Amino acid sequence: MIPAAFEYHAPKSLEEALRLLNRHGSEAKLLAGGHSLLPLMKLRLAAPRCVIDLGRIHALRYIREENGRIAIGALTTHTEVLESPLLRTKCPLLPQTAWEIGDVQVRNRGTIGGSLAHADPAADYPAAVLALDAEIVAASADGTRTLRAAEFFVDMLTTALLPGEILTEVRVPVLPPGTGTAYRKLHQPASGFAIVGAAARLTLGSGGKVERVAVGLTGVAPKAYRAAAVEKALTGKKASEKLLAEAARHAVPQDVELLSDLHASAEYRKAMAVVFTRRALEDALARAQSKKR
Amino acid sequence: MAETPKPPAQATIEWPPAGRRRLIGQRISRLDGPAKASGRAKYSYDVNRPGMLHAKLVFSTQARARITAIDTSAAEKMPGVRAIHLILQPGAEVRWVGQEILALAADTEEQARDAARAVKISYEPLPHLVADVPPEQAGTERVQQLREQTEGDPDAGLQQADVIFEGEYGCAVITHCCLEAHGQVAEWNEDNLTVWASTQNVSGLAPQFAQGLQAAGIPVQASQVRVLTPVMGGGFGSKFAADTWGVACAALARKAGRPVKLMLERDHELLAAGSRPSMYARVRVGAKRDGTLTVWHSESWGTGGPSAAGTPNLPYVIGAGRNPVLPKRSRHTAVFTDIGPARAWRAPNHPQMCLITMCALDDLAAKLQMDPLDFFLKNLQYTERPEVYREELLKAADLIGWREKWRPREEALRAKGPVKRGLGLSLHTWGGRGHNSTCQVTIHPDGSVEVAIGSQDLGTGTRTVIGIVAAETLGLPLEAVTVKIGSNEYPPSGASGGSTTVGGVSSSTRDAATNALNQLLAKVAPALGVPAEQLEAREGRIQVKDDPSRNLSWKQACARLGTTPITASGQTQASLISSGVGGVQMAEVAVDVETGIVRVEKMVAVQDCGLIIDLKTAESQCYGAMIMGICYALYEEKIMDQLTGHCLNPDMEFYKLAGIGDIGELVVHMMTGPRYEERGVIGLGEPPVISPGAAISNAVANAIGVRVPYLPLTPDRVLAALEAKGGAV
Ligand SMILES: Cc1cc2nc3c(=O)[nH]c(=O)nc-3n(C[C@H](O)[C@H](O)[C@H](O)COP(=O)(O)OP(=O)(O)OC[C@H]3O[C@@H](n4cnc5c(N)ncnc54)[C@H](O)[C@@H]3O)c2cc1C
Repeated sequence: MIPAAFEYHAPKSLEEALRLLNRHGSEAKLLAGGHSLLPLMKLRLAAPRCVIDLGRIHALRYIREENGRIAIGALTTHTEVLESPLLRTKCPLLPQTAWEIGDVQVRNRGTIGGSLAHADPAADYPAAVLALDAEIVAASADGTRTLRAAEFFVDMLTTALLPGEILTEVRVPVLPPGTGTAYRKLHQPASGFAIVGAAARLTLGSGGKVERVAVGLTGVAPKAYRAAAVEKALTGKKASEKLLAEAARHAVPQDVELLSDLHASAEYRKAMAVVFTRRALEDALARAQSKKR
Repeated sequence: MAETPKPPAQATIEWPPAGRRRLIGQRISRLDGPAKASGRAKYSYDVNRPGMLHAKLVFSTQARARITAIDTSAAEKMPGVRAIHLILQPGAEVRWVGQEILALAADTEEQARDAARAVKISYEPLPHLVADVPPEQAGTERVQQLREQTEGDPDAGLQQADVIFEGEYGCAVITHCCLEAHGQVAEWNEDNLTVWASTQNVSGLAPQFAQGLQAAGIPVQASQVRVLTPVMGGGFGSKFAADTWGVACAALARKAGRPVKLMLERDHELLAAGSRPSMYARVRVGAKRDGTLTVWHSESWGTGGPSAAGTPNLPYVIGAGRNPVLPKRSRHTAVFTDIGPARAWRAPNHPQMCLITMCALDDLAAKLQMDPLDFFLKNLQYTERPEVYREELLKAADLIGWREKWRPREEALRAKGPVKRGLGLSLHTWGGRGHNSTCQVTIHPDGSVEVAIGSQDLGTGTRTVIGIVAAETLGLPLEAVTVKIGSNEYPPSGASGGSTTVGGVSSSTRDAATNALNQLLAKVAPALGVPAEQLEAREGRIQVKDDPSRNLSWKQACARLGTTPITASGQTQASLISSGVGGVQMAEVAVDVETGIVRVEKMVAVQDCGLIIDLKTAESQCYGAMIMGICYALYEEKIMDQLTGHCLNPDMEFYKLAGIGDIGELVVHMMTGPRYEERGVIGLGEPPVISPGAAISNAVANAIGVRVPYLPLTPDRVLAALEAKGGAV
């Protein structure tokens, strides 16, 4: 229960952090909220020789509107996302998702950058950033690059971040009028992580037709994914409860490798992916309709 | 003073009458609450002695195998390792994953853990069975028929029935999962051993340690073993023995010449420190059209691991009465498996028997299209206490709003939306007669009072109950009494099991305190100028009964003792206790038929237990029991891997217990008043934990229109039952 010895650095700027990361290479681990990394170190599943604590880099902690998008610094905590008036009015799916993460302590410590970089298959944010077509900004000694959420998640605990890169920012859209969003989650009873989490974003067009819809699913498979078949079954059609229920049946594509554990078998997960996709869509539709009015 | 006056003649000892009680029956907070809540209370786990070593166990990784070799050579050379003690020798057979093989002690816990990992055990595997299967699938060498019982004419009973229901019910093996793991700290002083043990049996442990150590070649007698349990964190029936780890801990301390702490790790706690046997049954029950039962048939089985668990007595409560006798035939078969040993779990066998009986009867009521409340009321003549159960059923129904809320099964399922609601009920019983207890009360010349009993407080409130009885008897406030328990240096008391403690310690305390007071009254009688019989102790004074203005304060009275304190002892008094209680519980659940998740919205427990000493800790027993009941009804199950024989969930993540958000509203009503109180004190530890499984299962059946046959009522089982029925609508 005590981690192996390590060297500790607490850089005050991103540049300093990148220099340290470059110097120590694969022997270094970045530390944000620590709620995922420290348990791994205590169990000695991770034993980095050097820990670079990003916690003092205050410049990476913000939520602001820029060029029609909302930019969120990597070190922004789940609580800050949850409480942000800007996000609540312009992109409520993120606060809705943050609300479902762990408990108060977890939300006060955990960061959006840490959660995304960790890519836990049961984490909540991945479903939301997929449904939002978010952009993820990575910085390295060579500069920065912007990744689309859809290309960011590679596999269980694996992202498209390269060694030497630090996730610095997440950018989400300002949602257009007539849009409703919802995150619905089946909690793993002990830890609160997602057995299934469904993030839905639905924009109604003229005549109650679904103009645009996106559904992100987490917990079901080794990595979060977009339920493209659900989206296809809805787009351009007149929204109704029945339509949503039918579309949700496509939540789990054939080629998805289902997770299975003692809390939820693959079969159960699959059934719940359908149920929670439908519930998220129903909530999103109701919100979209109430905003239309 | 020239001569000591004689104490007054002994009358039969009684509880004070209702109007005269100041403390007994009130809601009084437990004495050790603040110390526990603030972390000042020191559990065995918290005991740290100078120079203390830390010990770890090495346990079997095989469900069944012969040990061919134990190689400790690498471990011996590890840093900090001080002593190794073999529990099993090469050649021995292990019978479950987690069976203790050896223990070793090192300077730090980490070193001990590292060294334990370096021990190499070789096995010759033997075929194992860890599946919880019916007897016909277990193989003849693994089954033993324990009981076949017939009463009345069950064949005629079947003939008389207008409606017969057949069903299968059961509950899985669960573990005790004590929050304070099993274990102890052992320290030698010359040839004397002190053990700080987490035990339900402080007075009974010394002989077990002596015997175990003698067998390990360490000569020590029971009189040389001091056992201390000032506070402990839960036992539930699993902490009566010294256990292999206790003896190993003392042996390591002896070898190393240093104190040793050995507390089980969580995984080992769940693997080896006790489990509750499973029980399953195929049941046939019949009744007349009006609901009167005519017959019970059951074929039951279950596994308690390597040895047979107790034999059930089915049906339970209903059909247990003698007048009239319900015709019945029941048979039980034990299945021996390699899942680890069973230990007594709070009300051994009762929760299982209760589940099987109450669920079968509830299903029969549904088939008769009767409200189960009416059905159970109709059949109370088959119980041993029809009047108590009637009163309790009506009270519970009132508290949960049964008459307003209850709907027939099919109707509940037609409610709009995926969440369906239902109500269920169950009845239970338990004995709870006080065990043999001895108590010593000392009144000091400065007025201070000590009560000493070799009992222990498992968290139930035993310490507080003892204090209340002593203070009540001596006419003092509770704070004036110091309660000393948790040591075998105090007068011996029975182990705390089977709800026997409160009857034992309350009556022995009443006896000892009365005897001490009588001595004091005799001492001060001359000063007050009346015979001792005319004196009483009330509100901190010794006063003349008919003329309270003639009095001495407690302090003044005690000052007359000079320099010699009074000590008096007392024993369990049959006149102050009895046994046999009834209880009723009702549950209201909400079931999401799309996810299969069951939520207990509200539970009501109505319970009698004779004369209640402390209403608050009594209610607290019921709250705790309902929470424990929700845990085993919805979550708990020891999940075994058939191939490797390993338990897959020996941790608190996958062996999930209820959290505060899972519990719902709990309502407790204790039956009080003359008819209950005149019975004297009866134990309460077991009864309220018996019914939750059945009440919750019945409520779920009511909500979703179909029985989920086995506990725990996990989402997949709920969905499977719905699917077998053809869906939720
Ligand atoms: C009890 C508990 C319950 C939880 N429940 C939930 C839940 O319900 N839902 C949920 O989604 N999560 C849950 N979490 C996880 C929590 O949200 C974590 O805090 C989060 O996943 C990781 O964020 P962090 O800031 O703590 O990252 P850390 O633990 O510090 O880091 C995680 C990983 O990301 C890397 N990393 C961190 N920041 C960066 C960066 N800026 N750039 C590149 N790499 C980086 C680290 O090197 C490390 O490998 C729970 C955690 C706990 C302890």
